[in-house]
Amino acid sequence: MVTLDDLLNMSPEDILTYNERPDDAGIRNKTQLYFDDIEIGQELPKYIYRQTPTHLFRWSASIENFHRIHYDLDFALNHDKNPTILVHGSWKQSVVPQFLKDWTAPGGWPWKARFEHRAMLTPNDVLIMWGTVVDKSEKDGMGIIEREIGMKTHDGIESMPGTATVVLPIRDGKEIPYPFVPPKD
Amino acid sequence: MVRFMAIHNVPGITEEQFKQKLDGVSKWRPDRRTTILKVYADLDRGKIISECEAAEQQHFEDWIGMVGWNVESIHSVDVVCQVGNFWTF
Repeated sequence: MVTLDDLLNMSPEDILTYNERPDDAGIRNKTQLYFDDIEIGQELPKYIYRQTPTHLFRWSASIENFHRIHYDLDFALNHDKNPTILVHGSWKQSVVPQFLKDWTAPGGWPWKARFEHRAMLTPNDVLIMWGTVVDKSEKDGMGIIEREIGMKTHDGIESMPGTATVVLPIRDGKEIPYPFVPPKD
Repeated sequence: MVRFMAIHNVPGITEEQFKQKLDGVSKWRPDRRTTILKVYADLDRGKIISECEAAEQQHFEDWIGMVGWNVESIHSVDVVCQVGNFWTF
């Protein structure tokens, strides 16, 4: 697996070739990760995106957010003085649960996440959704994994620093309850 | 942010050479506060007009130095008319 540092030393076009986001079949056939196998410092598969104006327009329509900075180039440039139209924060938010869910599937649980929006993202930015394991512990028979997460641009700007907590089963341990019931402290 | 435009003289420039100067994100957005918005080229006469949004003129000039196109003049833009909409800067 290529590291985040490796990606940030590549050209945007080369970064695009290292997308590790699984396709539908990859998710359906995914082998369960277990708490026992996770090491602190471990990097997660990186999801690579490059949003186009068409993606932005489609997202605006899908969520009925018709703020013109997201699809009207004339307005975005000349009224709001932005560098171009801007990627939606809500789209970035939508990546986080997918990123967490994919890693814990099929039997784990993406418990919680927090993050901040700190940079404007524009079409043609190459975006890297990344995560690193920073701590692990057992609670109530479940494996708790703490992660740092973020979405970096190809030029190294951290646009969405955050943290997340996900739950993985312990090998030969109990199943993670569904619906999820947080462990007792 | 300020809008700038520049008029360049680049006799003999080809379409391929023109594209080669602009075919990657870092070539038209050298940093996150400097964006080359549009570049017009008259290849037959070697005339190019570039448009840039930047914090200050020096950042635009840095980009011009990067592409290496000779500059006839650089202007700050006060008003734009685009498909009937007027935008004042």
